[in-house]
Amino acid sequence: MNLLIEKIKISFRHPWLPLFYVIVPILLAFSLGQLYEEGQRGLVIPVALVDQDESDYSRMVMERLMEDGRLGIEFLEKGEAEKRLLKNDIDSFFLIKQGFQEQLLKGKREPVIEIWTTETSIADGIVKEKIAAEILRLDSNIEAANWVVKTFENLDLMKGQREQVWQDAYHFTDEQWNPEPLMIANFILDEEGTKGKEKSHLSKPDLFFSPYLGLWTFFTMLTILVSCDWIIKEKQILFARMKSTEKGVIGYLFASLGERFLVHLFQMFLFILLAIQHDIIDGSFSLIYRMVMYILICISLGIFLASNLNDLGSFYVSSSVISFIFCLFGGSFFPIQELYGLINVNVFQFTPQQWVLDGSGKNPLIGNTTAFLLILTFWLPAIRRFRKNL
Amino acid sequence: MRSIFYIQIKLLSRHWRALLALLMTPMLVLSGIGLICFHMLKEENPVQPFAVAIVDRDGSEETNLVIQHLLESDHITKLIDFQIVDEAEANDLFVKDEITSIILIPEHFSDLVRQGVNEPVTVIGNPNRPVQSVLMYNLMDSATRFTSAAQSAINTIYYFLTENGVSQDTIKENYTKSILHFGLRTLARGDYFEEMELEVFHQSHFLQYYSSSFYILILFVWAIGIVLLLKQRGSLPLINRLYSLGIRKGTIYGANTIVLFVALIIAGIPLFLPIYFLFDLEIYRFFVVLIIILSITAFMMFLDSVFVSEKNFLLAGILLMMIGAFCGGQIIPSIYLPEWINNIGYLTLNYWFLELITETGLEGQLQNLLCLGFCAIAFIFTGLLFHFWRDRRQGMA
Repeated sequence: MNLLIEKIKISFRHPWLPLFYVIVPILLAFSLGQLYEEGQRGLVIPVALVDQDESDYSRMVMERLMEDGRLGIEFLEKGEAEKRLLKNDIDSFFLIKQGFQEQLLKGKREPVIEIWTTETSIADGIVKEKIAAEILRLDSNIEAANWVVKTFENLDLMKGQREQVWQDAYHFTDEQWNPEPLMIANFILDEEGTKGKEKSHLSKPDLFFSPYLGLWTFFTMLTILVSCDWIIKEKQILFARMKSTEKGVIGYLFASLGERFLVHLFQMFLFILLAIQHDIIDGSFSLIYRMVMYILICISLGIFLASNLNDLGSFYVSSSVISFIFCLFGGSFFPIQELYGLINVNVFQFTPQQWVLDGSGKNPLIGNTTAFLLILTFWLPAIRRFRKNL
Repeated sequence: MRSIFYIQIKLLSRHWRALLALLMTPMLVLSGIGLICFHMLKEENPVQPFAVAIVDRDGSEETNLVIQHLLESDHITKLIDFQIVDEAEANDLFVKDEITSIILIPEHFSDLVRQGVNEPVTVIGNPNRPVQSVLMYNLMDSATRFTSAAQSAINTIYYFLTENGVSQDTIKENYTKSILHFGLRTLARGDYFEEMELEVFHQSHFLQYYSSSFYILILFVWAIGIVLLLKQRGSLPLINRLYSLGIRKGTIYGANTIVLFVALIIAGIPLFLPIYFLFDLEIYRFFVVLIIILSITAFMMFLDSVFVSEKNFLLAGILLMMIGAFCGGQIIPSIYLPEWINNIGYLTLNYWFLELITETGLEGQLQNLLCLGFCAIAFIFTGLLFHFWRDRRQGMA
């Protein structure tokens, strides 16, 4: 205990290294997270529209598509659009054929739009549905008007001008889109299902993958592993000397690690504070507990690596490679758990990263057991090695 | 210089285990990812449809129409498995994480819609599955528009017939017929489209894009690792002895640069072979790869001369690599990224490397290649000057 207090005193006297371990993960997680999130928000689907009809209807469809912020639309001539598509500058282009308005007015369901794609196009399906919605809107106006006129004629109700009735019905149908379409959908993200919907009424969904906690797990693991480099530096000289003291190597190890653990814990709480302030995490007790356990697991892994490697270069290389791989498959960079769900392989659900990121809905027993097992499997051989080697 | 080169090579070979791990792990990870992709492609229906529950509190004919849209479209059912359940069951499935979202159709929904009251349908997404929720969002967005279109027409017919005193029986008959008619029109919306595919020769399709992207990332990871191994404090006594013999830091730096360059060529060129044969690339791409390796060498050695401590070098290297990979369009192709991120991307090596490996035609690239090569050499010299400057300062002290 005295040794621990002594260590803490030392770290206050030389605060640069601990400060480095505190600031780096938080700073990197937030700045990269910001970049990542902004990038996701700003994603656009680059498509081009070619209007060969140049009628009122085709212009109307194009104007309405322009209102959609997710589409980056350009208006081009056909030749230009083809060239741009071949150069991979646009995802796909849509050509409104000549006779578009005419065909619609006749009520025919002929192909009036050409979708031009290449092998690399990915977003044409979404844009197609958007255009289909606009065409169906026009088609419904026309069809409803035709229907009314036809029924009136059959029942001999046509009092005034045939054209007038048609126009009235057409506009009556179209007016139903103002101020809002007849059917709208509310999107809510909620963990509890229909019960929680009253309390969180979001009109605009926030359906983006929040990268902050994931990046935190990556940079925390990296800095914790790297911060165990003192063991390698001191292993050769100091540990041998420590053996002859009353505390022994293990006592020294625990005291030094205790100090580092406090540093990382401080880092974690700072992150949680900032994250709660920015509404990134909920700050529930269960999450904080899992994060603390995550730090313990990382420290154990660091000890394990340090006990097995003898030089700094290999240690740094393995630390970075290991944290990168763990975090990649643990879902720190993108929501990989969805992918596992799709292909029925989820061997990586036991990675500590996934436990932190996605642990809320799962059985807490599995996560806890894995965590303790991991800590033990890292600690025991490491301690044995330290004892034996000296 | 030559003897230093040998010393550094020997130093590197002393860590052959770390070196082997460094070279092999990224490849193993890649084969793992490749295996997963292969697994996905091999199966008939590669993507398991994700489950969505529909809770219909209304239960009228119109809401049935909405549900029919979702159930009968081929391209939707390939993706989504709809289950019509009651509310308690839906919540149960949702909490168990077995469904992606719940579509909740409110009570008296169709009556309200007919009266022109906007009672929204609620879609509750599962926050643990953001990608599927986005898909669901796009799908429902289109579905509500289709339904609005059909419903507006049905309303018009109903209204005009009622206003003009048509008998109840006729109205009812027309009403039922119109629901069917507009429902069918919505389902047949694909008839409006004609799909054309442009044949592209030597076009970088996805597989090539991502394998090139991974290839570049692997080169970066290797370079960072090798520099770390070369930076070794463990060899400090040796280096101090060399200093005392009059060998300067700049010389060691030069030797390290050559070691890194040679090591990257030895490891990187064979790794390029599968990409070369698989996508039937032109022979000059090897020259492109050579320039890329030279640039990575220069960039990493420059970082190495700026960041003396291994820790700082490691963090700076990883950070720059991650920013470059994201902004340079190695993860999401740059045409989909917003403008300002692309502007950052133009400043990254990753963007230019990817462009050089995947673009077609040599004419436009020659300039870029020369520019990169020139910059690389300039970078190496800057690093060298940096070291000689440090040497002199140390000499004076």
